[in-house]
Amino acid sequence: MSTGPLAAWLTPALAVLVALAGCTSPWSPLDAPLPPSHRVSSGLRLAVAGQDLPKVGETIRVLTGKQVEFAAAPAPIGATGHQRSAIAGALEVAAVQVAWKAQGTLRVEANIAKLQLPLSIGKSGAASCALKWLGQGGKGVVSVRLGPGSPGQVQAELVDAPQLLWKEAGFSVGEECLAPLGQAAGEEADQEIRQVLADALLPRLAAAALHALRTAYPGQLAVAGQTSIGQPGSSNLSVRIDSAYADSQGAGAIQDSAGLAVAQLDVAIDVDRHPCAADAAPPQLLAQAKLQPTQVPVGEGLLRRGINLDGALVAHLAWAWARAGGWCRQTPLNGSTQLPLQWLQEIAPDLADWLDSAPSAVRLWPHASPEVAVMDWQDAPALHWTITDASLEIIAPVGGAEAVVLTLRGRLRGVLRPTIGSGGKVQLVNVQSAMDSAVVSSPMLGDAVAAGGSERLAQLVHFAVKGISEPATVLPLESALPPGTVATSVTRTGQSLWLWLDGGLQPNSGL
Amino acid sequence: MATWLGCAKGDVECADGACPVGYRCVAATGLCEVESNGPALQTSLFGAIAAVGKPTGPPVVVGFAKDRQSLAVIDGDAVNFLAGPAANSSQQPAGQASAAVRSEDGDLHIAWVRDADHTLWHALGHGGTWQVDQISEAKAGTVARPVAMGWWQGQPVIAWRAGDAAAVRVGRRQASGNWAIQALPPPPPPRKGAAPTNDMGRSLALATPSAGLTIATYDGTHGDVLLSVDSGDGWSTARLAGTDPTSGADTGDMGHPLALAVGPDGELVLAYRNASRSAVMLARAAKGVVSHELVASGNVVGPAGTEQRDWIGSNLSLAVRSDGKAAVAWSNGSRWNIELGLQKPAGGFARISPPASMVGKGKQLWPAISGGSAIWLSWVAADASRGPSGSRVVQWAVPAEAWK
Repeated sequence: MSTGPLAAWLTPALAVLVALAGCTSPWSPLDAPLPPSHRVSSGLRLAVAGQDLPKVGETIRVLTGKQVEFAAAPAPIGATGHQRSAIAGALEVAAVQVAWKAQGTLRVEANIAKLQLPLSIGKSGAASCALKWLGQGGKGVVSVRLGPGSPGQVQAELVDAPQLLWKEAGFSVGEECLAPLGQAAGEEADQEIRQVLADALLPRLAAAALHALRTAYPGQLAVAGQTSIGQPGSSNLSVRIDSAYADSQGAGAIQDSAGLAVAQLDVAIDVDRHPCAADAAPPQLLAQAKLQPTQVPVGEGLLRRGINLDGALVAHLAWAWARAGGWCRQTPLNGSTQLPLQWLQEIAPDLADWLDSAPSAVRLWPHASPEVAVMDWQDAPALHWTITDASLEIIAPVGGAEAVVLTLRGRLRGVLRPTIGSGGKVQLVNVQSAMDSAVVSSPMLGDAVAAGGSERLAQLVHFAVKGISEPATVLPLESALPPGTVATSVTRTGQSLWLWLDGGLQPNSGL
Repeated sequence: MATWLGCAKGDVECADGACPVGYRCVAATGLCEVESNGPALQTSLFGAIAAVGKPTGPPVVVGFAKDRQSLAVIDGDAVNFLAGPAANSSQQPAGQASAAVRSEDGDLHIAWVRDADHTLWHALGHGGTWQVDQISEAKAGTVARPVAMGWWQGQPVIAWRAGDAAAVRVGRRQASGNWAIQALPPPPPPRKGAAPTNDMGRSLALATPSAGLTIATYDGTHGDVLLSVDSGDGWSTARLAGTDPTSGADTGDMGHPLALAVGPDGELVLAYRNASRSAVMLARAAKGVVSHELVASGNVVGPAGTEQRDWIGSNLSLAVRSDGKAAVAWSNGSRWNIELGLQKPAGGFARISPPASMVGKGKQLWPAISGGSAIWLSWVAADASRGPSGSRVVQWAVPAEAWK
């Protein structure tokens, strides 16, 4: 039986979606492929909105460096006996534009500000001749995409060799210095300078573009393996996960969909059944074949992207967590979760004389697997869950010893709202819960306790589930996604949930 | 006569429920007065009881009579109220937590806490008479439940929880009759970087094995069983359960409650609740080696083929037979009954319940087991329809064949 908050069932969601690949638990290969009944095709989607591309370009610019320094030692110019002086300076990256091209390729163009590079040429022992190399309309071009990695995985890769192109470039002043060299040697000196500049800029630009792509579409989201999870009070349970990027074998891993650049993952999970969980088959729900148009939140970020959890995947994750015993819960009640003693006395007056003080704990026993749906609650995205048959046990001190004093059994339902907490953490807050057709019993009083005050009973259920749900579970984004990833908003489209993320770029990137 | 909450001068409506059972509210004075012609006084106990074995016959039971708000000692048909309004109408309620021990010469020593002013009290029963004293060395206002008792070097020893909840104190009676009080030293943290213990002694037990005066306490901060031993060179404390002794890893919430006993060879025997598994455990410590054994698990079959856990062991008691076999009694808070685990000669535990003829249709609460010439199980039998005031103490001599 778990003792953490109820909402913790979504933890493996991100674990599956993202994190467990990076966790420290030992993983072993799957014994056998997971059956189709446990797979949600396109259950998870990663997207970058077209409107955010300018900001992505700016982020790549900062990652590259707004000023890219270069330097080269003196070098002979061919066999002329002449030598170029040392050169040093900085390329100013004025702007970076990014755009999606065919087959999911992200083309990155870095505009380079006009460059004037003073240098000199001369023979050893003779006076040198000063001149300038001038470059205008410079543009570093890099194309990246998600290419095939190991089966199911993707890796960010360069589509072709990066280039540094100049609209106009060459020696513009002091051409008389080049005359003694001949045309070929002059061109060689020019090419050599261009290469120095390209060598300085392009690796940084390419690395920045790849880093941005990897951050938005992490390769480690694809996981295939099995591990065990510790269950307090029980033996370890085996968890099997197989998530893979769709279209990961071709160049089409990222596709345009309603103004979003979307990569899709198929997610399959199976888990050993915890003895406290009902033996239910996974819900057979199909993810939406096509991503519905979505309203991208107002605002922008450094590298804003969205994770879309299809309702079918949410339901599957809830099933998996329930099967692992995650919904069997026991929680102490205190402080903000304290249930007033008076409520129990009103619901079951005959209990009053037996109780020392307010209830000290609550337990939830699900007798069926939960059903979960994504829909709004008070105009905000929420997860509506229902367990068709469940028992809530209220534990209170009786003569100094804790005992179950009241059991409520019926159809339990509730609403969890994902909210953004401090530090950009997503937390699931229980905002509503109720039990339909509750049968109230007590080990002391028997199976037919007349529950006085339906309003009190409703309060009791709500606060008991609230107690089970607190403190609100914080989704471990940092363990599942690149370090520093934060959530900025949560939205809903149809039956799917969007988590909008930002950050997660390397801390030493200068951002 | 005693003042009582709800009984007020001139209040003509104060008669109903204003005073404990057996008293009536006198409107003229606002005091509760014993009803000379009222219903027979009941000795219904409420809460954990202590049972102290006798050379023959059922043990003496000590507990809190809720209706009388007093500490009661029941020995067969005889009932004595040692503290509270039933003992002296001018006294405040007392005895909400108590412990008892029998001395080598057969005297009975009882210690209890008076919640009203957080004071510690001691009674000595000898030849049918009782001497009751407040232990003034235990600073008033600092004594909290629970309390444990033992017999050490010819004198009673008492352990209790300090009011600040972070410490346990020990009082040893001196030959002079005064009490020497000391605090148990704070335990070392279970692992590097762990928070210091700030909740200690919600459960505690005291025993005197060959190793020295021993106190087992519950570390509520880390959910561990602490074992403190004073072998003459001061206290040393170790974590007996709840933390892996090698890695320091947390292995669950254990030790609330717990009970201690001493085996025939002077070895320490400890019963404790594993709250994480809802199980009752038994540990033996002898010659530096500690072994743990499952006595009973709360696992039961629930609806739809699921497994649930009964809330077992929230009150437990322990005794050891002369052959070293342990008997553990516990309450099942999910069913409001009691069970008994008897250590079998071949290993493992026989899990039994009191005979149906003694249980009836009511509920059984707060078991207390006592050794001596025979193992006795005492408990409070309760009836929902009659409420706590209708409860009564039941005692059962566990037959030898039950161990086989």
